[in-house]
Amino acid sequence: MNIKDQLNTWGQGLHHSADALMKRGTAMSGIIPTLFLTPVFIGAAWLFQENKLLLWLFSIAAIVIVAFYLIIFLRFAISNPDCLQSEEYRCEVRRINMIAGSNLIEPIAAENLPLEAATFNHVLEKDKNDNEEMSK
Amino acid sequence: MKAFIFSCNNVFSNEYMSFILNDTKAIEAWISPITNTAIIISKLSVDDLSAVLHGRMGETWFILVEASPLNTSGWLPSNFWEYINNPHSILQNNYLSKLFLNQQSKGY
Repeated sequence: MNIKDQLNTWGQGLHHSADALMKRGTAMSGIIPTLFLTPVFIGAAWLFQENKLLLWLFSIAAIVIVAFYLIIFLRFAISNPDCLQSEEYRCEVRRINMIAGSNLIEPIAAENLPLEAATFNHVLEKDKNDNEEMSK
Repeated sequence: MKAFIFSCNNVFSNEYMSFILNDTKAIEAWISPITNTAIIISKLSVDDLSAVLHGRMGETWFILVEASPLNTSGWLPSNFWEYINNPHSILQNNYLSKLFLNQQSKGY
């Protein structure tokens, strides 16, 4: 495999993983495109390895991007880990009806409570029916 | 004893909203079957309860409306309509409290 094919394979792999990461729809999705610059800077550093100044400049830029990504990731991991879950997962969690109340230490999923079936307000319905009967 | 529908911006976590609603004697009982919305039982008038909640929530937007059985409908498990239709019995019977406590003791 020549160098062109190898670069092509790496590019496709990178594109595939970035695509998968962005489609997950996490809070990190917005800064994932900046990660694309890391291999570009590494490649540039390799190309300009004769020039020490450019070599350091591109290497530092590549490191800063990765470090920035990791710092943001760690901040979310500590302060709000749910943001790192996929959008699909978060939507699924929201679909579950959670019940909070004055006697609860923490919310309980409605499916874990022996609740009666959902209805309209029967008092209002009864009152409406009574009024209709009266008007007849 | 009156029932109120309270709804606020989702700037607070559920835990903090629970803390605000639990941390005042102005609210006798509350339940939140809908995100950022609670049915509150209180002895206060809508003005006074609004003032209490505003004092705790600062500049966060919220709305509070007195709910009576004859002006409130929707689609909820019938247990929750008791908060609006019969707030006295909620406090006296503690039906839902018992329900919750039973479930918590089961480890949910």
